Amino acid sequence: MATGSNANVEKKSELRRDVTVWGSYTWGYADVGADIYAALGLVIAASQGLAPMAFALAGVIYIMIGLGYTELSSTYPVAGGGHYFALRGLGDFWGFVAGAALLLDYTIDIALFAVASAGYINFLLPLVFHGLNVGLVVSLGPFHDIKIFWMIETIVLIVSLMFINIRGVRHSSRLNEILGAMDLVLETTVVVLGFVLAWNPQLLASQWTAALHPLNLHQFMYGSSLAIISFVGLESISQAAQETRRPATIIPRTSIALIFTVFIFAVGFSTVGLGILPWQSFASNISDPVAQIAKNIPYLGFIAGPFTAVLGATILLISANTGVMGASRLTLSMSQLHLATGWLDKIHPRFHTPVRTIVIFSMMGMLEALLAFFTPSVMDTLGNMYAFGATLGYMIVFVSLIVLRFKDPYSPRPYKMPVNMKIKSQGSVIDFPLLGILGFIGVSFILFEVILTHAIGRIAGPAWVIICLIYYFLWRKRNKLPLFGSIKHNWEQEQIDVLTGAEEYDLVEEYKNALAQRDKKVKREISKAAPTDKIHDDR
Amino acid sequence: MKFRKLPPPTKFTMTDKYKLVLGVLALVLGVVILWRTITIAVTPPALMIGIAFIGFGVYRLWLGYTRLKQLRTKR
Repeated sequence: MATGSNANVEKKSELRRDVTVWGSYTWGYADVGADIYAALGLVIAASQGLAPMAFALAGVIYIMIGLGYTELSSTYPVAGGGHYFALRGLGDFWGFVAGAALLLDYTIDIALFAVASAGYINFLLPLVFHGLNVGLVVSLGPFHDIKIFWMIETIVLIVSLMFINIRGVRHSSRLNEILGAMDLVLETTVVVLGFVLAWNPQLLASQWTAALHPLNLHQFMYGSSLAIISFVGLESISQAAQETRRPATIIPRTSIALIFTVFIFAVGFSTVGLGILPWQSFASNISDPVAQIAKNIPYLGFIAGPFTAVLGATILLISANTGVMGASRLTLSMSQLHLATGWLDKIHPRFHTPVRTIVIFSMMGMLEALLAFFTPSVMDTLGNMYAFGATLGYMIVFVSLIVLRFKDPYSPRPYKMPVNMKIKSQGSVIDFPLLGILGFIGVSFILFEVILTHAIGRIAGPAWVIICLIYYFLWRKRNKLPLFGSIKHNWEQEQIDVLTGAEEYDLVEEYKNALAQRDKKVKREISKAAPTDKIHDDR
Repeated sequence: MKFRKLPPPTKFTMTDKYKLVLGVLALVLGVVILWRTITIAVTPPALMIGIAFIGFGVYRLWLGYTRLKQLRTKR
């Protein structure tokens, strides 16, 4: 039986620890912060005047997801993210299912954000090249209104990202840092100026009232389930964990800062947007909603609109980039843990990047984008799929978080999800995460909404997972590995190696002490039980 | 929420100043949103976002104050 060892990830793959505090934050922000550029139009079009509430509802659940991820990724700072937590908590099979769901998200991430980035570019192009028809459509057999210009732009963007990532993390991480900072400033400026110069509380109130009387619950559920896509991306921080310096110290800080920044921006943008424009304007401009808000800021709109479009296009491109990085690192981790073929494990000798996974999953993202262009709304189709993958993955992660509190109470947790109840289990006191339970219920509710309201997501999402499972069973069978069972891992040694590699020496000591105490306790119990056994034997 | 301790600050950096300015801006913006909401038309999201900005501003200012205090104690 082969022994999977993620502790050897570093030796094998040589992913470099290049990512700093700011890098870790912007890596996450580039992914999560960009979501609003793509999600705002979709959510407002669905929830209309209730969009801020849809964002708030999804945001509260996202905060719980974020806190759960913060605990897990600072405890296990390895590149696998959600699938690694599931594998440790629930075994190989669930590790693979979580990996498949998150992989769907990463490839959709590449597709959705490249499409959205091209959407913002299309806001700009007519301003630069007068008379350019960016809305050029063609018909192909039974498919009509295929936006061919937009489609070609998307392909060019994905191919460019593929090459940047093959070149290595140092380049793309630095790109994230610069553009992430610029975007933070811009988003803040648009929200602040929007509220100060253009926001009309009366308009917001009238749209709010109109949406409530009568309330269209189906539309609101659709909107709130789409709103979850504006918060997807925390996974990126845990993906980057293996390349972050002092991850146990840095990750809790960057994650918590990120969670609250993104939450405020999501609710802020929808509130300011509906106080500036009627929801119908967003519905007809789904591809560039933030630029529409900026364009309508008095005095500055003529410059703020195009500037927002430039930055929106770039930040969305970074988000697509984190999709490429995330997919490649996830599959690399899965192959090293014997959940997928080792062929994916190949590292480029010169650039030290997992070149095969980068190429394969970028191509997959491209294919998804191409197929989505054949549906009535490319953004809506990709958003549907994104929501399914994210909620399924997060559900499994929540279960893993709860199980790991029992299975692995010895690993030092630099950050622990708040609101716990102390319970006794097998002689030791465990902090049972009540907020984890609440988060699990919340994510399950969103998944229920996705299945109930998303016509494409409820078919294409499970289809993806089933196809991945067929591959998993075939591959495991061919390699004579257990199909539902797990490969034996030396998790304790692995945890020591991971923390040592992360230069978290104090945590290594803490972990070793906890293990030593456990061993001492076990020995004591054995010695206590031994005389009794002897008596029994004598009898 | 407990974080692992970072080494104490050695100087008041540009980042600290930026955070303080951002804190003041958020506080002012929150007050403006709340004031306009209450005087013109009250909606739950506007109230929520106003309070959120005030909370964020206060938190940032408190962080800046703590850092300055740490520096003074060190000196």
